[in-house]
Amino acid sequence: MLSRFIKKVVYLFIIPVLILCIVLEYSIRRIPNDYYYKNKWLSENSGNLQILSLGASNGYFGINPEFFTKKAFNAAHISQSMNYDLFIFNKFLPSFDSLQYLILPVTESTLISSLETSDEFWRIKNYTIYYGCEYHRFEPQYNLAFYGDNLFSVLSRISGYYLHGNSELYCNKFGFGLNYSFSKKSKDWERSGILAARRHKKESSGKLFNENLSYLNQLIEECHKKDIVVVLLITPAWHSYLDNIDIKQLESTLLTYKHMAEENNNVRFIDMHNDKRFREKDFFDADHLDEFGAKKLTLILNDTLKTLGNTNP
Amino acid sequence: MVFNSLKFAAFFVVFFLLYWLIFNRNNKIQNLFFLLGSYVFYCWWDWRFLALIIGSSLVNYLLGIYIDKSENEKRRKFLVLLGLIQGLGGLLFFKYFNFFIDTFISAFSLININLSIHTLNIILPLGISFYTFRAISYLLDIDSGKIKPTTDWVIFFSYIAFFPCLTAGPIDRAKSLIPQLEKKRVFDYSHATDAMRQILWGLFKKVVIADNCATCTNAIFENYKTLPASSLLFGAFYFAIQIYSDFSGYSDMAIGFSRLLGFNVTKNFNFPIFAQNISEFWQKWHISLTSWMTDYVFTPLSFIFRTSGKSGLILSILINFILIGLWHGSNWTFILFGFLQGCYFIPLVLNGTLNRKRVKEGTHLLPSFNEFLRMAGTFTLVMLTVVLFRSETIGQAFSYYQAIISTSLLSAPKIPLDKAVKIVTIIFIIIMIIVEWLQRDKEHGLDIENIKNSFLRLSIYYTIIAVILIFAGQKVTFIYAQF
Repeated sequence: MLSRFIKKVVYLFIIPVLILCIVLEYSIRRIPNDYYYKNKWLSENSGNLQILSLGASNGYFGINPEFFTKKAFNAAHISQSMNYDLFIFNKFLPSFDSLQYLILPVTESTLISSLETSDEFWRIKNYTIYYGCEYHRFEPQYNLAFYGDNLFSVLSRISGYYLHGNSELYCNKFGFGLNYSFSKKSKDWERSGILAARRHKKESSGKLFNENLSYLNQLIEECHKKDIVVVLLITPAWHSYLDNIDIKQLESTLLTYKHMAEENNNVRFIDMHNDKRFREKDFFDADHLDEFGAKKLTLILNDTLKTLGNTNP
Repeated sequence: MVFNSLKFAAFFVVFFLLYWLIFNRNNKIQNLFFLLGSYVFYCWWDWRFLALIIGSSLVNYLLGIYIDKSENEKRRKFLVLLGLIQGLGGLLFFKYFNFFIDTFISAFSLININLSIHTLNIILPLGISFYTFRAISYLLDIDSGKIKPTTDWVIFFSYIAFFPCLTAGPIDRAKSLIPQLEKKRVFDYSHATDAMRQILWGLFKKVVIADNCATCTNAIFENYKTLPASSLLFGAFYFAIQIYSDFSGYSDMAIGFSRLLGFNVTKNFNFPIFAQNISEFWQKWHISLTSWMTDYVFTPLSFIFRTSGKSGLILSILINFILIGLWHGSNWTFILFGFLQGCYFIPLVLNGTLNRKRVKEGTHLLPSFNEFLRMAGTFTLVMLTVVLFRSETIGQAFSYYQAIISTSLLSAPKIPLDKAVKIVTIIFIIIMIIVEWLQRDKEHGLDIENIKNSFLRLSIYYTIIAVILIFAGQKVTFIYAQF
């Protein structure tokens, strides 16, 4: 009886589902995407890279390394938290022979958030699969490319690539995110400030703060050993975001960043939150720049880095 | 480790094979393995609370034996009280401590006294509301002589930590579950295949209906201030369906997994969306909780108030439902939800129809017009109160109600979502309702043993699997696992 039941379940259900999963997984993994591209680029070019930018969406859409005079690359991803910044940095650290600057775009919520606890947690699988990150190696949902999407969207992605050639590579060759372009800006973008401020308002978690602080300290320490200057950068934001921001959270975070810059001679802190040089046309939404804003910010940073020098003072 | 996850699938497959192939030689060993599996399941969520469930099992196990042995009535009552303090004390601390502190502070602030009492950052242990109620009923049943305590600690510990029902019930009684643990389980092929069907139907309700409804519900509740009243009514409808398919889907899976392991667990839902009055609704909704509360709260209360006639009965019902509301969570919204449910009973008590035996719907294809009206009316009453379930505060719920009562109720509903999601959700809700109506005299929606053509049966399974894979909504936590 039991063996009949097991055989029936295995032959009629488990095997067909497993075959389907294998086919889907193989097909999805072959679609080029940002994570695959950035890992590959860094594996091949980190030796002569001079400026590396990490961070989350504000960095991904805010810094276009094309406009740096030195060789630069943007390895930020949407919702990338400090533990993944550290992971990417450490992975390529042995080959960073020419790296002079590490730009780390931060926000008032960077130190109290993590990808694991965010709504974007499904992105974790990309670090496991494409970067070889070990944080969640033994959790099946973070090792399968198709997991998390329903079959309908998996099939759409597969048919989109194999039939229509739509890849999932959304960055330029320097790693800058292309999706937030001026032409795609929504009509009521100004309202996005309220939502973004609400999204970034987090319950203060001492444990998470300490963990993130420890990741940041490790980054700074490794950079110090290799004479790399760490730039903690707060990217420009629109007034509708700034007006709704959690002031207490912002002030305490700013204080931490300032303190880090004072304590470590290889750290610089640049706060461009309320920078008046950025106008309406530079923003995609209230807390992200568009391609014009990103160009402007990168050129400003390029000039700023020259004044900082390339070695520790 | 939720039922609709790869982790659970892997865990259950390994557990099932070992349970039936290796550990089935001896009942004691099989029970020990079952207990071990239950604890692994529990630790997967948070190992820190393992000591709590073991401690609670040990205390109740010993109390059960001592209550039975004790011939002194006072001593018996003292031991029962001790058990209640232990069980309810834990529940009060983990689930209600912060709520009582906040309420206390708010009450004093009304008379301008500002108390500075700090709330604690307390994590709610998984399934505490469910296993505490299981333990309490065990002690009370021993005290009233309904059952004898088990002297096998493995059996009792397994009863408390019974993993298929640990997260969100059903709350099975010792009277039904312990005898099943005491005797050797035999694998039954037809039982197991039907269990698989029940799991599949539960998965469909959870993943396709509940999770897609959740997307619609969230879109409406998060923007309710800017949407027309008709959309808000849809929001309440979606949430009512979401909570039903989420919890009944979970229960179907829990019962199915139990059946695969050779256990018969209490039916928790009996197609409540077809209930024709509120009394019938509560006889069909979360049956294990309702019957628990009826036996241990409502019946003693109505005995206490027996001399007060109808007002005593109403008071018993109101207290019972307020406690049912409070059981769900430490928020005034749940208390008001319970209170309103209790209020719905008042007309039935006053016109003497509370205990009238329900006329069973016939096996006819369509309900009569009167039946349909009664079903729609009952569902609407429930639908309106679940707004409280979804709201974070009573203020938010009232502002939602306020927004519903407007002229825009007659305008076309606008839901800020992709058209495809809305259409898919509505289509599958209709399919679920039709299937459950046709299957209403069966154990579950996919009880299709009567279809003799195996090809047709197989086609139905594959269709449902395909629907689950293609139309699964964004994964949402089981609502009742948070209680």
